[in-house]
Amino acid sequence: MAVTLNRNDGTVNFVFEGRMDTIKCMSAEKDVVENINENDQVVFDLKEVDYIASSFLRLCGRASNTVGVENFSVINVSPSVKKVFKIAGLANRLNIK
Amino acid sequence: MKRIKKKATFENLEEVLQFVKVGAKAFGFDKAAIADLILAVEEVLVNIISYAYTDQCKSGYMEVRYKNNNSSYSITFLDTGKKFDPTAVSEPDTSIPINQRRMGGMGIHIVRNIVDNLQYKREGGKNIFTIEKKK
Repeated sequence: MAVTLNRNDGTVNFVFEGRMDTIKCMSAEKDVVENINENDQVVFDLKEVDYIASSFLRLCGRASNTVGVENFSVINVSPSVKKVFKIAGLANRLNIK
Repeated sequence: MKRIKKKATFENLEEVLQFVKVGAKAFGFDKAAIADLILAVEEVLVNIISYAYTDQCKSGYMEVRYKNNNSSYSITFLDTGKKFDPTAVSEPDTSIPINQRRMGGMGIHIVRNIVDNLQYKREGGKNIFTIEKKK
């Protein structure tokens, strides 16, 4: 898997590492899509991520659309990564911490 | 001016990004500016790899050239794929909630927000797209 996944009581925590560039996101997308369903709470943990491409935004969109925006959050976001969410107009539309 | 020309595949993406990164470092950009520039370059190259040659049975090439003057660093992308003018792409409506948005299409928007100038021309059957970032 391109990401580490922890599932606990309906919460699925995906821990990403390093550069989430296009190629890595393509690989991670399959892992995310196959491991969540509409009743889950989904958390993307970016503690170890210092770079995201626009494909990561698409990944967030897919997860958010599956479980609902209120059940999706992105945590441990660095300033450089948050900048990309801001450019996309998503910094205030997703639960980003 | 320095240049690299590779088959437009995801396998070659990292090599081209490293080529640009070396140039950006030599130009004197700081770490944050280099990261921004690499993001912009990745978005442009992914568009070329993903869409430039989809109407053709054969694969094509992506060429990247960079040059700098005292105050700015410019990168030119060339491909022989179907005509595509990134400067003509409409700005996405970023006020729309995420669940109503078309997924994708953010790449050029990100590029626009990172670099200082964009230029496009179609010449000799090539898309020639230049981005410029100032110090």
